[in-house]
Amino acid sequence: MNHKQFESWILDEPKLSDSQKMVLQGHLAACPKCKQLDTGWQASKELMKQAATKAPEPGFSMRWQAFAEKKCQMKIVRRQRISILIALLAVFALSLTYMVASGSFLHMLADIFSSATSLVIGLTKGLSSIGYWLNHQSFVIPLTIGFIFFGLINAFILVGLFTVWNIKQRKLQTDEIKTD
Amino acid sequence: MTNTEAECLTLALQGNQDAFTQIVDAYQNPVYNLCYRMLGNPQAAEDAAQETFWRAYSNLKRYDPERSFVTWLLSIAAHHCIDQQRRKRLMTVDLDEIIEFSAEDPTPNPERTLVETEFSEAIQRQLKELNENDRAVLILRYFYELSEEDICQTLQISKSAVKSRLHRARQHMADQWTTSQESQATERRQHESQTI
Repeated sequence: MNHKQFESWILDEPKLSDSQKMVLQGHLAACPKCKQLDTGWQASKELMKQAATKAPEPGFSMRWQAFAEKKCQMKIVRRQRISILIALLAVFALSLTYMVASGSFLHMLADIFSSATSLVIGLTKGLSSIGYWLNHQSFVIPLTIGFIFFGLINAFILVGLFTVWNIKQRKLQTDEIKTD
Repeated sequence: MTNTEAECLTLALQGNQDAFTQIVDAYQNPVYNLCYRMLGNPQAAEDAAQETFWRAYSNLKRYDPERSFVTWLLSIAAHHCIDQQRRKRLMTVDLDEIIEFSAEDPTPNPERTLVETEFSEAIQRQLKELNENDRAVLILRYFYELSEEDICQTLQISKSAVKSRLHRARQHMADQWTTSQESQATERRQHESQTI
């Protein structure tokens, strides 16, 4: 009988007949390599039998409830993100529809460009008229308008900074939920 | 599964999270034990067990009542742990993590005897050397006493794959044991020569 067969009897744990068991015992007595394999496997199996079942720290189900709550929150956040993505896709689809309806992409670009140019020209004209009108007023009115504009610009900067800070905070909270 | 657990399962199927918490309470030990034997680290095992129950709760409608509930849970846990191990293997191996793998839970537990802990540590050292697929098969076979057919169903692999993985795992475990015995004998000899 070849050596592989004994290895299979040791490792595959088939149901052996009495005569096969005798043959195996005889081989184990003569072959140190197979004896070593048999001893190693039997000892490992015994170790697995003796090893205690591991249990989690007390309060596992309570911790699971908290975990499930966080997962639910994450689900809501994910749903919101999907809604935003769908809205963006809808805008994209509408733009695409407009592009197709207006004839071509270049046509649409030309429309946008001409509209933007007219807007810039209109704004320039308006600003020149305001400048002309201000030059003919006493110095108090331009100074007051200057102060108002300066205040408005500062207010916009503050609102912008607050928005960026708010977005960062929300991102941090979402990351915390994920890592928890 | 007891009648109370079956009732809880029915309620959980209707979306009752508290009812499912009772299921978590009942099955936390087998699930955690599998995760611990697969991952070898108490924190990773806790995270994996939590994730297993969450996945079970989210996919409760897919559970086939004809199948054993605990086997279904173990199936989710085993797949999750195998994925975790694969991901970990793909990432750069941190030396600290290797040391942490064999580290036992430091919190004292009076229920555990010193001998059990020694066995547990010894087997964990041997298990960590196995490939994650072979480890899963061996754990299900010897820690949960699942039959080869049950392992086929749990891991969704063929019977021949179960047999070959078991053969490879047993061979590896036997070799590991022999190596550890040899190194222990060498250490003992060195220690004796130092004391002389």
